[in-house]
Amino acid sequence: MNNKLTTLIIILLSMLTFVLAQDPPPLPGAPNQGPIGGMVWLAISGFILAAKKYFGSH
Amino acid sequence: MIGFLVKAGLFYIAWQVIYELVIFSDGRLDQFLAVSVALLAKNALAVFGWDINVWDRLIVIDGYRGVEVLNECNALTLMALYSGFIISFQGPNQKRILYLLSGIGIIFILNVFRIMAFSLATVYFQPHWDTFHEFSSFIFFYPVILGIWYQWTLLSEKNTQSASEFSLA
Repeated sequence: MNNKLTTLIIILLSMLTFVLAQDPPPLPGAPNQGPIGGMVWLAISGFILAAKKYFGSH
Repeated sequence: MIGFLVKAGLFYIAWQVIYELVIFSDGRLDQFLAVSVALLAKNALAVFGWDINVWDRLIVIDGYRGVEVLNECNALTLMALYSGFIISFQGPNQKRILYLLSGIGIIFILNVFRIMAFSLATVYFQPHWDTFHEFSSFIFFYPVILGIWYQWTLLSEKNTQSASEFSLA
């Protein structure tokens, strides 16, 4: 009886380490990634703004 | 105008070299910006009661697809582009520093709002996430940056006028 109890405890403890060692649950899908796009339009707008200011005041 | 173009060109070449050789290979600035934006977006959404987690650069509302803040999403390049205009366009130097610092701060805060919006988009319109992402810069960043640049040109104009009046007197 004692032997069975000891074996059971050992098995339970070893199972517990398996449970605790699991990875976090998987995400529902690959994460979205959001690089900032369209910066060339901002650069062009900046150039136009500078040109307008320069040629407007000269 | 030629002066502006030369200064802007030199600034962006110098930025690209410094970024590739120092900042990118070091990695700490990119990492700091990405992690802090993700953390602040998570905390702000948690205030509104969202069950949300953050792991490093990954921000996830429970049960939905996450948003990963890559180097290209941390707005560092945008801060450089913004700074290039302010540095290259003539204007008073004391105000230039003020415009540089406050502009960079505003871009950082706008990026937090942008990442918050991306996280909420995973809940409300994930199928249209890519479209929302494509237009997000035009909603969050560009109107504000163009507005500040315009203010800077007005300030520069005023400064030039007062300087010429002073020299005439």
